[in-house]
Amino acid sequence: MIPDLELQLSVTIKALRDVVLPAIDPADGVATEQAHLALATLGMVRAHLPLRQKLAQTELSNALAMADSLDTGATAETALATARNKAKAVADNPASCQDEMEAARLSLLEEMERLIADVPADRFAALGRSCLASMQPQLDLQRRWVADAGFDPDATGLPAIEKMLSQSPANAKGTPVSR
Amino acid sequence: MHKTDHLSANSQLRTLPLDGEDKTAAMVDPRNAPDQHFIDALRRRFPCEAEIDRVLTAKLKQRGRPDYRRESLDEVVAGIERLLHHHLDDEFTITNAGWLGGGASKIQVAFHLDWQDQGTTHSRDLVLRMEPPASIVETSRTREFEALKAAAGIVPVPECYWVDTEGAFLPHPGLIYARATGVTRPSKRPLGQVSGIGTNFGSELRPVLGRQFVRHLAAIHTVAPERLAQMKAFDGATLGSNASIIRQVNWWRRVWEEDRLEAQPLVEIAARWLRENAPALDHVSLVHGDYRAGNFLYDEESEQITAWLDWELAVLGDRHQDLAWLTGAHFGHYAEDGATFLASGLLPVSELLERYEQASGLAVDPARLRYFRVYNDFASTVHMLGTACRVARQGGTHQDVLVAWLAMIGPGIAAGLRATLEEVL
Repeated sequence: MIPDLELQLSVTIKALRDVVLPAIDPADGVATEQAHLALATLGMVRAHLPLRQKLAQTELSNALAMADSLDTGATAETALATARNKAKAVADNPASCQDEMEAARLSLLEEMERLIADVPADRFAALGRSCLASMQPQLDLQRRWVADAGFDPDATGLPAIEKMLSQSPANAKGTPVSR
Repeated sequence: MHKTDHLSANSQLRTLPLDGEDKTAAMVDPRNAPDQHFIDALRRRFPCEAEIDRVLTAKLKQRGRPDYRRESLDEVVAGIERLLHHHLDDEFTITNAGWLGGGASKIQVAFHLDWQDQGTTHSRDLVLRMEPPASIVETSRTREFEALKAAAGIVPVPECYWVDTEGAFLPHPGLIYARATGVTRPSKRPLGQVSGIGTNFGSELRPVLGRQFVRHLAAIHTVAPERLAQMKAFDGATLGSNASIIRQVNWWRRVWEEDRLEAQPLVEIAARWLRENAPALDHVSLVHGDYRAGNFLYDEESEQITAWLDWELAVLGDRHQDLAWLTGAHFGHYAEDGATFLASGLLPVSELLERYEQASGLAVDPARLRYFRVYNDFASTVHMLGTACRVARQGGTHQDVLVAWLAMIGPGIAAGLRATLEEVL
């Protein structure tokens, strides 16, 4: 066999932690900080690596739910409707790879941002509210994904990432953020 | 709005091809190596201050060049020597040069300089504050230099000496100022997050620093108009007008369009709301732009603040921008009782605002505070979810791993922005 990704990551982390980090001149604050951050980043990558496919599926599902909340069928939304139909086909195809799901999600986001920019003033507030309501599951997912960085203590109150990745957007419940 | 420009800027981004699409065409992102058409379209669509426009345009023109290579210390010192030769007629000596840590956005080198100027001998510890090829916030050294000059004598700031606006002498634009002494956090307390975020000063030191923190903020916000008028790299702000605030919104909306790796409707909703609800200025203040724990030094023995740093985001504008910033959730923490939130880890929010009103003679308007909470979260979302990811991917900074780490603040800030917008929209 060849060393799998998990093995390669774990030995790299061990080498950095046990050999490289202690060898850094303690007076070199920048090098010490970057070494610690590199270790922490690798640990996060190691934990997330098995979840990448589910993340791509859930993020695409969340983007589709956002698009559903915005597409009212009016002429201006035609481009969004087209992107949504393509994205739905990708989401419904079990053989879709991560790159295809990501491309579909990016395309949806492009069309949604453009729609918000171009919508007439008298429709902006209503469309904006719909969009804001529909984006909460995705933001919660992102908060939970990076919670171990420690910047957002409230994110630890969200369900475990594995659970969030198995939920559909309609079932997901948000956690307020401190402001 | 220039609809054609908007479409050209938005529709060209597709980092990954959809099934059946031509992969080469689909993977073209104009932001990777912007052409003149792309740059001109953004400049027309998002008018902002002249100096900011200059900096952002220069950033885009530089993007796409070969990967960043960190200059050696000798190369940087050679740049300092070129700058000094340009400004000084007499001999000078540089000693003890070394990299200085701290700060996520700028390269810093400490050194000692002995020099003669018009018959007078000087000997100072100095700091070069220089831009990396790409930064989490792209700002002007000239504006920072002028803001420091405006604040000098009013609050403690490092004395400014020379600035190289466009990197004519240094490897990149930079300024040289006196090296201030002090610490950003108690040396005997455990390390908190990076960049001074969530610093815990301890219950005894908090009120001492907190009083100075408020007094200095009030002094900055009430700098005399004639002194503000000396700040030539700032376009100025007009009492009773919201034009300067709309320019600021355009600034960060432009940066989002320049830097983002993916679209985000939240940013556009925020930008539209901010433009449509921008309040007229009731007082023109010098706004620090990043006033918080982590950006001041203090002397541990005297417990006095010795220097206010990081003026790169300074603007002439509304005091509530700083007030909303320093009371933000991510820069504070809860006191030992677990219930009292300490703004910037120093004072309860209500006490801080009350002290501020007394010290400045200026009212704190809750509606403006809320507006600038949206503004600050909007700008931070742009920095963290747009620029940080872009520059880290480019390998364009001196500490990409830190920048990528800081980008993880973004989702929490974006969630706060979403929640606040839901209240106001």
